[in-house]
Amino acid sequence: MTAIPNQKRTIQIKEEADISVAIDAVLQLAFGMGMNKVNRTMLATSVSELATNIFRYADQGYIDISFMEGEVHQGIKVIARDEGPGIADIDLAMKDGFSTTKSMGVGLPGVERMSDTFAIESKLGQGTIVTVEKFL
Amino acid sequence: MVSRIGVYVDGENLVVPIQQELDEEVVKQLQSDVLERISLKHLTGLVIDLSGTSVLDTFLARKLFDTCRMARLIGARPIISGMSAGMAISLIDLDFNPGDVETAVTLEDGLLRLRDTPKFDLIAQSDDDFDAEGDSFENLVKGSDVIDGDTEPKADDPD
Repeated sequence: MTAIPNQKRTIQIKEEADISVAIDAVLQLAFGMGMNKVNRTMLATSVSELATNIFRYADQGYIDISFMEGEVHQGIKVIARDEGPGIADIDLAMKDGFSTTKSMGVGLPGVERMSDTFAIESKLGQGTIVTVEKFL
Repeated sequence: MVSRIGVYVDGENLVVPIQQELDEEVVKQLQSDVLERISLKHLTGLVIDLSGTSVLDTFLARKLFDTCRMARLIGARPIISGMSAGMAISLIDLDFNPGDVETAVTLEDGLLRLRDTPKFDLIAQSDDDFDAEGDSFENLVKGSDVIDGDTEPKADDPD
């Protein structure tokens, strides 16, 4: 099997089981492009946190996983997008220990630490888009 | 359909080799299976081995570590083994607090530690025994072998 696996996948997060589907997908793509095990685990854990956030706070949304094959950086890009309630105070959400409910989740500062690039956009009542990149 | 993780009794310990990816339902089921089995069989040790799973987010980690603390509450010494390097980095990056749960490199290592733990209630039958003979810790441990070997304990009954 030398064929390059699908370059891009979009997983709809609607129910709990979809989180595992997203994790499997990112693990497969990362393995396929030769990312090492430690980075694969960190990336998959990020996806797990992001997908869990979508499921818990926004009800539903999407995880896009794609290859980055640039000259400078090769790796995997993950976009987690939802049309949920949005985050009122992003600075606050990026502080360790912040969570809008008692349960775990959010974990955005952790996701940022585990990723090589991190961007977040959120509008109240319109949704949230988190983009992370993990280089090879 | 929730797949269920097998739990195995090894002597006085419960062994839980996780060989699949975890999700919330699986971990919840595991928690009750583990605690039920420990209390039913009066087990004194627990090893949860993570070497067969690759991703542990904060939610799952908390459930697993909570299960360990619960096991300790009902009298079993918990050990988590086989965590990968990536898992450790991820959990600490995510600000997860592992608390005071003991960890081991491999399942074997975890089990060895549990087996090496002396059972004080078997060894020092009473405080009098302990004080009168002034036994060192090592002697006490050897003493347990004598008892296990179905031989009479050497000390006379203090009564």
